[in-house]
Amino acid sequence: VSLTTGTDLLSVAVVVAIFSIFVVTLVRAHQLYQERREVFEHFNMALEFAEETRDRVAGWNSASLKTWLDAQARIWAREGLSFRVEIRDFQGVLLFEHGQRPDQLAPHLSRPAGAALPVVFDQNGLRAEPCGLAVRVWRF
Amino acid sequence: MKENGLSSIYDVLMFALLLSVATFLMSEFTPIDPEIKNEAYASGLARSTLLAFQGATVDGVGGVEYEVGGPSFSSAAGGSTKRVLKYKTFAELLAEDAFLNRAGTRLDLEGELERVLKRLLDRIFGGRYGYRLRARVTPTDPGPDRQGFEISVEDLGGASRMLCSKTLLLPLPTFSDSLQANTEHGLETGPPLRVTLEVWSR
Repeated sequence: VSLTTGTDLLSVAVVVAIFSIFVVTLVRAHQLYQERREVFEHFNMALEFAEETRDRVAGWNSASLKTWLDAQARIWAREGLSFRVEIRDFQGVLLFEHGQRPDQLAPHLSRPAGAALPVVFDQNGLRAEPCGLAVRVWRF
Repeated sequence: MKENGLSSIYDVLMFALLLSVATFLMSEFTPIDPEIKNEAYASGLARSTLLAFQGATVDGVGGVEYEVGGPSFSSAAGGSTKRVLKYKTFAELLAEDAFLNRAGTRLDLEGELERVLKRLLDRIFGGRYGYRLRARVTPTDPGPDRQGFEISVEDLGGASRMLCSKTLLLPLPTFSDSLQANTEHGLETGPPLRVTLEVWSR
């Protein structure tokens, strides 16, 4: 396909307008693609991190879990990433939390992606209760 | 408008069309497929659920009450044979039910077990996915006191496609007569309890 420049002023204007529209559309499509890719990557990270946290939750007390999560948060921060972990029982009562809520932070964060998995949480060494573990990940 | 101008418009329109097709193809065939994301999540959910079966006690969903052998057995035994179980895990209860059923001890546990399993699975999947849980033992030496065992709990309303299926194998205790036979021919374990969880998209 050869692109020739017209001599007529109107036709040139139309060509430029159409070309501009499609360039803008292409840039927007690329932005959307990048956003989707970032959300997908964050979702994968959240899922993997949720599975790792799930494996560590069973048999750990809250203090040692918090120490491990603090260490993870420092590693993630070096990559410009942050996360929040919540464990709730099936009635929705918050049993454990770590990290700030994304809505309490600056509005220019990337869109948080999250994963929720069932987990066995033994809060005080008496009841191994089935609970919900939610992990949210975002870039700051 | 001269002929050259019209020609360039057609060129640009053709270019824009090709660009649109390329953009569409690029967005359709990227690795960012929502179905891949869905399957990965369903797989993680199924694995975590089977792990929760092994670690979580039934107390979290109200516990289990049943009568050994049913009400008629209680009257014959001259007292209540009711058992209240709170601190057994879901896997332990499934294994206990499977083992005693295979040994020929009639339990009134299946209904209760199905109820707590369904309650747990409903809470985990929350209507977002369909599920089917099957726990079964296929006997290798069928006989009058070596029955198979199967229990199934499902919610497949509106389910369209199976996203994943995960299986957990739980060892069962060996029968005493099998144990005696085993000592003569080397120790062999009995058939395991196979717990399979399928997750379906909605």
